Amino acid sequence: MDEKSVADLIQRDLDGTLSPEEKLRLEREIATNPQIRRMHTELRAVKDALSQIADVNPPPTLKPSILREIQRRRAPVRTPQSILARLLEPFRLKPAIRYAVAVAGGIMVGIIGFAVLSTLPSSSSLDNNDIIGTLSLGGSLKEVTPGPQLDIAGEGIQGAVRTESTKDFRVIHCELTADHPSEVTITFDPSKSSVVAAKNDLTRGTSILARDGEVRLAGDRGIRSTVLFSAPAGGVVSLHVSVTWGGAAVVERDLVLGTGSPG
Amino acid sequence: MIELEDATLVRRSLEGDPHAFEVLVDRYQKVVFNIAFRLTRDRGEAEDVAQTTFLKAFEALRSYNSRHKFFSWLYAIAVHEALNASGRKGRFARLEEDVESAGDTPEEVVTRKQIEERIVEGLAELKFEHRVVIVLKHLQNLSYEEVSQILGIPEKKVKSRLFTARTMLKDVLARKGMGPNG
Repeated sequence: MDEKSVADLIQRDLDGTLSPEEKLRLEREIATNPQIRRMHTELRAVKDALSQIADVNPPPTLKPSILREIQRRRAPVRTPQSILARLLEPFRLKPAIRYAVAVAGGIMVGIIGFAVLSTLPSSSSLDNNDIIGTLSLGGSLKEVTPGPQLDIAGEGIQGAVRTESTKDFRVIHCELTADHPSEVTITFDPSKSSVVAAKNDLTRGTSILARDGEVRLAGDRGIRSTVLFSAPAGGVVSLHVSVTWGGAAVVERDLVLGTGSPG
Repeated sequence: MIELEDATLVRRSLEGDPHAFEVLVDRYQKVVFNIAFRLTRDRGEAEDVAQTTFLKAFEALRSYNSRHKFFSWLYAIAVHEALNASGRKGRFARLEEDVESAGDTPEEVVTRKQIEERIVEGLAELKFEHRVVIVLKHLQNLSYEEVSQILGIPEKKVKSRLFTARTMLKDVLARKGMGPNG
């Protein structure tokens, strides 16, 4: 048997991985070859000696020093704070409080947003066939001619429906103060004129409803609205104005605009 | 309490769980320290090596391939660090051990410590490549496959290197009067 094979057998014998046949073969070699016997004995002695070496305990400072260093490396690098961040530093809140403040802020924004939007005229109350585009205040508006005026004075309601005429428009200003919901209905001949633009004062609870030949202004606590009609070819626009308050008609009157003199 | 697998702890650590890596440190600090100590023979140096090993492992955790054993990867870092430390140091420091000696009589402890001291001194005379296979195979009882993975060499080479290391250690110990008969 060559030296390499013998060394392999001894090695595996020390590792305890020899088959019974291989074990017998090694034992035969050991019995007949003093050099192999000596090598086997010495290597086993080394192995036995090594097995006597016990583990040593790590110093108690090892783990804390590792964890401390890991903690240090995990900590985010703090960049220099801006002036704003430094000013806000005292107001920094715990996450739970920040969350509550964010929720409360969201609710407040929602309430305010609803309040603002609810004052806008509802898109459903304007008919695109009647209300066309946005009024551009040109020079002609400055040359206004006062028209007939309807004064309203009743129990819990006061104000007026004023009219004006310009070169291109016939204008109605409705200014009413009321204790209860009120409504102004303006009817006209749609074949002769049309509503060009309308505006209210964005007060809560007011609305403008435009239909074919009819404009209805309404308000919970009064009305401040302006409606512009197109000037027809003949220049004259006949309107019927009806003011109701508390469900009953207060005043009704026909107004003719564009005659060049207050009606 | 259920003991989590190394791969699970690695994953949790990567997910930001600060306690996951602590469990790994608990689990392997003793072996890593012993490998470092047997290779450097200096407690202070071994502590530095062990600390560096865990910190490097933590930093490189994303590169760990969970198809391999975590401890093989960790011990490979430890061996590499110990090799660097040995290179820096040149010679080994004086042996100073705090050996576990459960159940031994005082006489047995003294005898065993003398034997150990001679073996460790003998180990110190071996080249690093021979010393490391003895430390991993005999002192940490790792398999040839595991030693092969840690050192990055074929199993066959581990076996031949181990045989050479044993033979050299035998010769060193014989010179120190510590043959098979005494």
